[in-house]
Amino acid sequence: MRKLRGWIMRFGGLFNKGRKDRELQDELESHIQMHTEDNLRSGMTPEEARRQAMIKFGGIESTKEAFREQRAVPWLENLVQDVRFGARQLRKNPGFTAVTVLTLALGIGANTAIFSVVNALLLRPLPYADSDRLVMLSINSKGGDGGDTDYPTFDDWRERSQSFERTAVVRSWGGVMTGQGEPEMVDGIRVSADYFRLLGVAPLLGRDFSPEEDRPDTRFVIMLSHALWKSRFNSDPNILGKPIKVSDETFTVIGVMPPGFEDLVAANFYGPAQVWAPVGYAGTEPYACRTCRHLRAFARLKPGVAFAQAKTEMDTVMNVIVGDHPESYAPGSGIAMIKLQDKFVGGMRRTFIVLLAAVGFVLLIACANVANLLLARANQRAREIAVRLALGARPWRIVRQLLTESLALSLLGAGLGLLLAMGGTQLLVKLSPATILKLQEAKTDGSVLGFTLLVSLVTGVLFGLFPALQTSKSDVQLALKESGKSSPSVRQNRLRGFLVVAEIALSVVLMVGAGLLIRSFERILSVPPGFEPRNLLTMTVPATGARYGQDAQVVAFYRNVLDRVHALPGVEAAGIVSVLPFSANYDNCGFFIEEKPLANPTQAPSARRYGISPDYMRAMGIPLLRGRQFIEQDNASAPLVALINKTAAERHWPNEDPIGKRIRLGGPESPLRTIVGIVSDVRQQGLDDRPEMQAYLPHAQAIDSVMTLVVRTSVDPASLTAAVRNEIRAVDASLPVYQIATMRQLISSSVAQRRFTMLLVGAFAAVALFMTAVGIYGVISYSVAQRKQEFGIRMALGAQRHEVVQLVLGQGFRLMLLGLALGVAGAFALTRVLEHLLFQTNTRDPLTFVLVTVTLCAATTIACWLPARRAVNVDPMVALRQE
Amino acid sequence: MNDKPEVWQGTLALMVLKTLEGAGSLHGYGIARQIERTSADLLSVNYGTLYPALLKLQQEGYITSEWGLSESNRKAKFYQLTRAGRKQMHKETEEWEQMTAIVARFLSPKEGMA
Repeated sequence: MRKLRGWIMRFGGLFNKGRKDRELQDELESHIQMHTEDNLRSGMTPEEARRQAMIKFGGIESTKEAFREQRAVPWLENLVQDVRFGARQLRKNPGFTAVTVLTLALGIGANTAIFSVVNALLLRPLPYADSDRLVMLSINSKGGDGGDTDYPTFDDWRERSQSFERTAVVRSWGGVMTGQGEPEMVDGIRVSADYFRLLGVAPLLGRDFSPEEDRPDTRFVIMLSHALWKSRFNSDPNILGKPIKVSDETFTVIGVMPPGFEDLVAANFYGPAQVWAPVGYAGTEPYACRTCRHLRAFARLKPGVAFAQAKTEMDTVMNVIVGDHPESYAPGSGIAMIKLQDKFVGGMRRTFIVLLAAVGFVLLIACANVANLLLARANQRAREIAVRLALGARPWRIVRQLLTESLALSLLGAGLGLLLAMGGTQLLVKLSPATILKLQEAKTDGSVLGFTLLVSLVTGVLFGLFPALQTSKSDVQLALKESGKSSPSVRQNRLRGFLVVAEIALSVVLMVGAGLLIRSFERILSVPPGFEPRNLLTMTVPATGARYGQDAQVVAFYRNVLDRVHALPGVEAAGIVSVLPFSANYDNCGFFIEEKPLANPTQAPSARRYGISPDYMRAMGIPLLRGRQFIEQDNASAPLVALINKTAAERHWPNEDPIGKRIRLGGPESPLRTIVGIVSDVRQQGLDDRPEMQAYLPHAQAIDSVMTLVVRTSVDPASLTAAVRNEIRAVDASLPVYQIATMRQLISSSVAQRRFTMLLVGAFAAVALFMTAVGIYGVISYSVAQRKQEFGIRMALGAQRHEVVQLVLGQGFRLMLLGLALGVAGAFALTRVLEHLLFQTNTRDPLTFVLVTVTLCAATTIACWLPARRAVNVDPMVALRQE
Repeated sequence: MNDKPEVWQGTLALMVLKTLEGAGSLHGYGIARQIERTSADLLSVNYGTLYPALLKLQQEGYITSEWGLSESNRKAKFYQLTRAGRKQMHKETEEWEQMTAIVARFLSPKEGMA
């Protein structure tokens, strides 16, 4: 308590210092006087009496100093003094301050923006209670984290494991919602009863699913997202218990989810969900077989059960299950378990680590630039500092003063940077591909502010310490003798050179990284998708509902639509397909060859399955390699036929003609089809897909009720959107039309993630190059200014202008070559982290390195050109007279 | 004078408090002399260190000060013990005695052996 009082008094001591100093002076004076009088009384001479009193007292000044230190809080006073002094210095040099603060703001702002994203994506947990206990389970046949699961396997997991508090499965769902307003395509998922309790979210209105509702006969209850409830049902408070129709099935509304709830499971695997209904499976259902893998399984670990412990238990459980049903699992099947967070953002982690590193480089370059500016300025202040040192200032005090200035600069930079970062984060979110989950949450919160503060403090020390140490060590004698003219030491010049070389090296690494990403992007865009993507309009229309109960009705509907669309002016061809390439969907089926029977059907290879109309191939521009296309006569009553792609043909009939062979598509009981033709490979999900087996069936022989229309146009495809929709509406106005896009848009969004990374790293590299050029410019023009007289003498002695230019350029290029060498070595070492982000691009791609070198040479030339011109414009007479 | 032991940092405060207890009200010079006298001139007080120590005691509320006139009619600052100062002095005295007793116990057997 007393200590606290002491400190309060000391803070009080910060005020009214003049009066207190006078009081102290009086008190000490009276002390000396009294002592002198005593000494006089003991017989000393007056001089001796006072001298002895003074000796006995010790140093008056040091006593005063000790007293002052006790009186108040010296470090605080110093700090206040330093800040005031620093602020005055910065105000006195507005140009310097502006350049420095802007440079730092750019560096710190970019870092903060990227950090906000990383924070939202990688560091912050999923928005569910104790989300680190949520895991995804799947059957794992060949390593990897697997994917889909079947119902009986999931049931076994649930029954036989002890590690989990809750488990749930989900499957994709969705359909046309009718009644009350326009028909509308709604997306959703089917979930087992425990799903919301597993996530730890409760509905806003009503309740969630009970186990009794998770049965085939009782599963007709539904929960709505807050957004759907608001938009379609006008936030109807009495919605509970009302019936609504989805694809002609009637469901009773039992709950509405809260507004903030985002179903990341649905969003990650199937697309954002608007509705939820129970899976309602039982072992008796045909699609609940052990090889019917179309579910995704999740679990919540019991409190206190470690991830590894649960994994060990599940490995044992899975071994027993596989042992009980060897015919249903591929050999070597096990269980894959992964934390939900890792599943969702694991793929992004490396990308963002690369981005964080890149943006960190930018900040380092900014630091180097600012350090260089500070060095140049410290040089101008050498005399001021020398005087202070000569007057007895301790070097540490000077360092502290200079550091205070640099910290003030970096804090100013951070303040401005934070504003930049807020805008930048918005921009990042806007630019980012929609597939990046959780990015919308990126915002400036406490941890982002903390990060910025930390970065700015580290930055301030980083760019301030070198110059400060340099300056405080400067030779007082020399500096004073220089009569105000600054001349930096060799060591200082070397330090400046070193900083610029480091900047160049860092930007070389960044530029190589950006170059590689650009090259890779170029390569991926040049991959032929297997069809002609220009002038293609696509949209999806489902033929569902009471009017389409018969296959023939579905076929007739699409035939009707195609005929009408084909008749539109500007339309060259039109077809339909069950799964459109680049639509982010796929449909796999087993590929069984008649002449090669399998003992274990799960070992059948799988192929992408497409139901198509005869004109689809022509509309897409997929070339036929052998055999024939489908024709209208390949209908339900004709012999079953199929087309396969080149990869399937080469893989299974390497030395034979597959045409005429028979295959089953789907399961071992699916009907046999005759292969009638071979078409070229098509990329389904991305241009970087590996070639995979593909099989096409005539839509008339394998009915799908949700088909995508593909329209080849001779005009801008987007301009026909309304016309095509109208034709569909003319056939049936009750059907929703959705996923309207041109093929180029779809392909473009399939590379959105790569484009995002490339653009960001490219932007960072550009900023780095610019800052480095400014850095080179700064060092060279500084040196030109110092060597003005030298140049004057040289020119007076007959040196040609181009010789002087060469001299200056030579100095710049020496720095550049050193930086380039270091940068290339660094790039060799570092760009390996990019490997997994690159597509068919070697991390040592020679062209990239050549282009980076050329760019750097150009930048260096420009940066040196201005100072070089100044050097040759020196008037010898003027320069010499200044001596 | 140089071979006289200097007053230890920690003990100076206690000596000041004890001196003020006896004297009631005293100025800085008087306190310094009193300490030297009490120690029979065995201790030398560096007068310079006394003033920061007095300030610290004042900040902690153990003593107060006011300006007055010295014996020789000179203006001087006089220090007095506060109630808290008196308590603190008793506490420190006790601690000090305890400490010296302990140290003495360590030292006495050695003396016996010598």
